[in-house]
Amino acid sequence: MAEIDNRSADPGDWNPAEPGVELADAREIEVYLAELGRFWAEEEQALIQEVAEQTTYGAILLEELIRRQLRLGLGVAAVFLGILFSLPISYVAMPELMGLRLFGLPLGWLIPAALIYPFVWVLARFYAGRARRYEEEFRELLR
Amino acid sequence: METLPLILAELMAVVAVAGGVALLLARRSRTVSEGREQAMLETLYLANHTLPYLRHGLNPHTAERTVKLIYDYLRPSAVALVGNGVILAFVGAGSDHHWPGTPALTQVTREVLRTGRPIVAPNPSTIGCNNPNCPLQSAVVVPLRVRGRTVGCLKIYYDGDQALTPTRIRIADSLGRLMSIQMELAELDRQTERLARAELAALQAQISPHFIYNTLNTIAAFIRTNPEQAHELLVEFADFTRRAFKRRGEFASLADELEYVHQYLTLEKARYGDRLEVIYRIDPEVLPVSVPVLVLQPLVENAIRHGISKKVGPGRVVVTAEDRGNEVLITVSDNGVGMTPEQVKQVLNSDPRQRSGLGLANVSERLKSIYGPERGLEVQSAPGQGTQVRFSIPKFHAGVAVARR
Amino acid sequence: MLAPGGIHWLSLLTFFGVAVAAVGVGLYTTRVVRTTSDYFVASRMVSPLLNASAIAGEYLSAASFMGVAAMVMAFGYDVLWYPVGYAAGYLFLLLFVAAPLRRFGAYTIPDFAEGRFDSPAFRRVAVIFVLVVGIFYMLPQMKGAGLTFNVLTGAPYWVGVVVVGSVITLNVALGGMKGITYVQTFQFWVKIFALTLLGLGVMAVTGWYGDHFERVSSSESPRFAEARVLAHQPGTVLKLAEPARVRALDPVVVELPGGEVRRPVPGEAFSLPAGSTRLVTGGRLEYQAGSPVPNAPEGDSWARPFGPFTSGLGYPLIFTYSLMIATVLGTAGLPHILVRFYTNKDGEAARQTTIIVIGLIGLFYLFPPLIGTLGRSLTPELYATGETERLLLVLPSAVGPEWLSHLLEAVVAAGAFSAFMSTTSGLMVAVAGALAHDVYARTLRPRASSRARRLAFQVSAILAGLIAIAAGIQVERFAINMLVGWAFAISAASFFPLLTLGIWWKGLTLPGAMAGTVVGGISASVAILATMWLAPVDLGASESLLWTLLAQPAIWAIPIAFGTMIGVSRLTRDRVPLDINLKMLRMHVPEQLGLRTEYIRE
Repeated sequence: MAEIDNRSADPGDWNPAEPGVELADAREIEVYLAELGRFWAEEEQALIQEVAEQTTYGAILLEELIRRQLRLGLGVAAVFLGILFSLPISYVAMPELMGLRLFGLPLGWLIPAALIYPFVWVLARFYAGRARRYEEEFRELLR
Repeated sequence: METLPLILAELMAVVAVAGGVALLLARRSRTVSEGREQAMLETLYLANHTLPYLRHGLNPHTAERTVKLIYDYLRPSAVALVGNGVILAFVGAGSDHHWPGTPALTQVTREVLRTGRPIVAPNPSTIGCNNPNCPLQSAVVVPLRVRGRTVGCLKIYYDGDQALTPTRIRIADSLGRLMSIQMELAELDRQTERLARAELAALQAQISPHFIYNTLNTIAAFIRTNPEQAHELLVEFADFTRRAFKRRGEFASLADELEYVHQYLTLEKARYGDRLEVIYRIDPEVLPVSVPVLVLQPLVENAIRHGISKKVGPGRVVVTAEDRGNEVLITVSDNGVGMTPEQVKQVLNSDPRQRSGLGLANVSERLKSIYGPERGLEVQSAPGQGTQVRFSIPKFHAGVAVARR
Repeated sequence: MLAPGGIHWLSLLTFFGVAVAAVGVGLYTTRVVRTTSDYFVASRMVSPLLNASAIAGEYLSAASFMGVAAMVMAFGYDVLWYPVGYAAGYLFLLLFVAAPLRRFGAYTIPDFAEGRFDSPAFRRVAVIFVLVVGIFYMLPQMKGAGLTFNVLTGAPYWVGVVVVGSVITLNVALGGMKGITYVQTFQFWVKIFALTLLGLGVMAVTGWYGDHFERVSSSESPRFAEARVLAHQPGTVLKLAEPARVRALDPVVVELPGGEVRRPVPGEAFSLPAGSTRLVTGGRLEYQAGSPVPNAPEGDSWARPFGPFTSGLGYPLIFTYSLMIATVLGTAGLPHILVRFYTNKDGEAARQTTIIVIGLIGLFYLFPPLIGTLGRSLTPELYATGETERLLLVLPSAVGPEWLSHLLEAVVAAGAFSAFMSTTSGLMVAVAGALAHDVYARTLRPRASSRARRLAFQVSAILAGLIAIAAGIQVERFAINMLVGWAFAISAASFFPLLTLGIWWKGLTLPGAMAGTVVGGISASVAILATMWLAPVDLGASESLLWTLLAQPAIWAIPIAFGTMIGVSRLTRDRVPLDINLKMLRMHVPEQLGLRTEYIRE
């Protein structure tokens, strides 16, 4: 079960006939408002409460977001590195494919000399789009 | 060319690509597991629907509405709301002896009220109801806390401990928290007058009354001669006070501070007309820097009040923000009447208690306390030659919050 | 055709002209654009497009501008990994660093080191490696400057280093950061304009990329299209696969492959045999039309992997992978790049900026391989004299109309200076900033006034300039991109693990981070220094694995760094920062959280 802050309960001054709880005085309100003001003004503060308590949705969702984005990053990195590393050996492995001509240049040259750049760009856009989507989902669930 | 490493390398590459693709495609990973997602949805639904009642506080009437809602939606054995040791509402099995208005009967309730911590009771003995015919088998009891005090609790009963799934426990816990927050809001609602007074006091600490007085007078003067201008000024003024009202925390981006200064200057320019010229020289690279709130506007206000307003003829204020690598150098200079060296010293060292908190001394002290003793304001001035006030702050400083636009 | 010697006045004009123009852009933008009461102009944050252009401008150094093309001509396929790595580095920056680091608010890597662990001590450690990487990266720029100045004026190499180095140092010390975004953007456009004009211009006159490539990638080696006179330095080795007919114009002494020494009569034709012939004394040789070019790699080896660049190594595949890793992971740790990201509004803008950077430099890098191919096709004599690094300045002379040659060379000269200036300025500002801010202001004299700090910056800039010039004079024998590859390796081994684990792993502790950074950085640096000390000009023929690993240490230094970080962190588990959750929150919570905007709207 969740641990919440441990100030002892004192139900003594609750009068069930009264519609609400009377707060003590103006100064207390002022202090309380100052706290609340800071709560709403710095959006991080909202999450700080949750994160400090560790088991609530804010903290869980944040950890999930981080994990998702990391996995996304590793995935894209793996795909890119895998293809990159395979290029030098591809000449030996697939000589005919590497000899295919495009724009008058063989594919084996064209890929590292030209085609790989738009490929990196596409990967970048893919990552950014996905990462942004994870963040939007995070925001939605936290509202 | 070595062939074994070649084969290994090719294998590695294939594995890497496959792994990467798998990572990306597999399990378009859900944000939360099935159970948690469901728990969240149910909690949110209930929170949404109980809010209209709980905004009026926790009393038998609102409590009854609330427990009915929860009961109808979650379909447990029973639901109860307790306030101050007394049952406010109860619906479901066992309602024959758990009557609203009577003191809370179960041990577990008393325990939760006492400790302020939620408790899961998996069997009747831990529930501790002193009625031997009580059909309630298991329960989740969560406290309702307002401002650190436990003012009541929410109880959801199920039949048998099998029915007490983690999901349901989570639902109860979250519901309890959300309801607590709703009740806090309810209190806020009721204290509007004190609220207003407290906020006004805070507001007064942040804007000089002189400024408000003068601006309103300016607006009034415009109403007859140029109503559109008056309208615009009024809108600006309202926006300006709302900003000050908002208590933006300790730090803001330089861009934000500039916007605040700009609003202020728009209003001042309305008053001075052609007598006031403002020039900005801002390196765009430093706009994102975190600066303490309300360090720039007081400098500008000072330049106008002590420099320009006392001058005969037009005055110019220049606001500069220079990118100095690891720091930002901010300067506010005017071609006003200037100050003698004694005046400069007095302005920087004056007793903070005598001023309204906006003075240069106050700003300087704040800068020094955050960034170190060498980072206070540097003032250069001579009579008849205008004044230049500047300070520089590092772009990154441990302990300074990063402003988010 | 342009005379090879003498002073190229037009190009010299554009060479220094672009420096003046860049300074002018800086002054102009700060003076005019910002001096206005129009608040909205003054408060507009730098857009991702603009910032990306500035980053691209600062990033594309002499290595990219002239080094890559020259290397492609000299070595072919194997060196294509340099530009690919330089571009892909930004992908890795995007994946692991860009947005979270921006949100954290760190301006430099030492900022991050201190902020993440609340440790001023770690800041100082990080500063050390900033200085190492920064100075190291300045060396290839100095090399390029010396080389270019020599081509344009005939002055000795060191003169160029001193002249260009001084100009840049003074500009940084006196001007600092004026209008830096616009200046670097201007530099980017100069460079890409120069390179594309050169590539397209030469192709317009001499034919399409593909045709050139086909011709030079056949199994034949390049030949002189027409009779050509080349002046050789004493001690030059001429390697040939088949005999070449030449005529000595000066009295030369040649040592034939068998060891026999001959003194051909000047004016008399003789045959350079297949194999390696050494010219004991220098002199001019006239090569007959159709004779093969000495020292030129053969086409099918040049156009394919594991060709002349790595053929001397026993383990070319490992070297290639190590090089790829160094360039791809090293970008994130470069001191002058990360600071540009601070200019962005927030994490999302940082991501957008990175994507645009990839687009811009990807576009740029289409051209160096083209130009390298053109060089092999049109100016193969550079092989014979071992001067392939001059390719960019020599290629214009290979095209027809003289006005075009002059124009192209002038434009290339401007682009070259832009390349030196933009990167060196950026590095110098970063290094001087680290010295003035972290070493002087924070460590030595915390009470320094702002005037003292400014002076410290200027002194540091001059100091950095002097070191760069002095060291730059020493590195003439190293290829530009080799030096850059080494700078990247150190950056990749020291900073990439720190950034990645610091951002994504809660469990990283201060001892772990420090240990990993130090171990990675030092092992890479030591390996590289050893290579520089012991190596002959090219990679040399060494079969040993050790040699390969020393020459490009990324492939082992980075895993060691990661391993150390993780291992030591595990051992010091209890020293995870107490507010680690807040730090993670700060780095990863996306901007515009719903709470705030709702509040504002109400």
